[in-house]
Amino acid sequence: MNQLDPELKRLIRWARRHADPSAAAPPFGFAVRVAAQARAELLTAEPPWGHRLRWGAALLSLFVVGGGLALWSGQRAPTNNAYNVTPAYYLAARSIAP
Amino acid sequence: MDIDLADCLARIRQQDEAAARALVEHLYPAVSKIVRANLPRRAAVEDLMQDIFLKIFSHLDQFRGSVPFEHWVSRIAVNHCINALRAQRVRPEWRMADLSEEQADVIEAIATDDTRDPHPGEALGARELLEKLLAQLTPRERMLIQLLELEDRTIEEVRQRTGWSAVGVRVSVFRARKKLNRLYQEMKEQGKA
Repeated sequence: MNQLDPELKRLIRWARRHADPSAAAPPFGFAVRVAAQARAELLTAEPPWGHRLRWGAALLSLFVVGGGLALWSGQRAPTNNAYNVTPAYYLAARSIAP
Repeated sequence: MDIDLADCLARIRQQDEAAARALVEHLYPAVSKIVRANLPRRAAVEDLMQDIFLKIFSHLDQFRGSVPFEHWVSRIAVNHCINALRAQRVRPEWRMADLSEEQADVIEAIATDDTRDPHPGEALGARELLEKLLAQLTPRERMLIQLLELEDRTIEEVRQRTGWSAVGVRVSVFRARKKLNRLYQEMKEQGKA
């Protein structure tokens, strides 16, 4: 594997001597603040079944609306038979051939 | 701080705030180390730390135990830092004129075959100088140099902590070292000019 320049390695060795600034313990109040915020977010967050419930409700609505439309258009459709194609034809058919 | 992790996670899932506080205190040093080593410019450590912990809590249900919990947390922290570094987009231009006297002295000192240990001022100068060089790398390359060269981790450890493939790590670290060597040579050339 490609190696680093020896001088660069020395720079890294020197840099490592600089005390690691990472804190061992969180600052005062940090853990309390984070825990409280996490809890608040969990309480307001959607439950795991929420996503499925939302999709289920959407599909059900679609089904109800679709069914209603089908029923409505079915009721409005003319009943086609030989005698009621037009009112005039129907009248003539009744008068001429009773 | 030692905690019974399984018990702590179970209590957190039942929304026990005390358990959440204990977990934050337990994970803080490890997360802090990752954040401080990969901190975007102008970003506050505590803000970034808070975002990472909130992400950990919100994704806790997705932890299946296939990897150690610390590695899972480390992956979240690493990815969050990389995204924050990517979001800053513009990387600072490196210029010799920007170097302090201490940093210029460090360049001179390491150019001579010097095996002595640095004094605290030189160590700080070296750290700042290295930081300037790392700032020129991509967030992923920077993370890899940090883990492999500064923290002396193995490829396997890096793979576990980042979730990246071993081949991907090897390829990226090859590029990162090459780029770092070039940047260092450019820095030296500018120093001579």
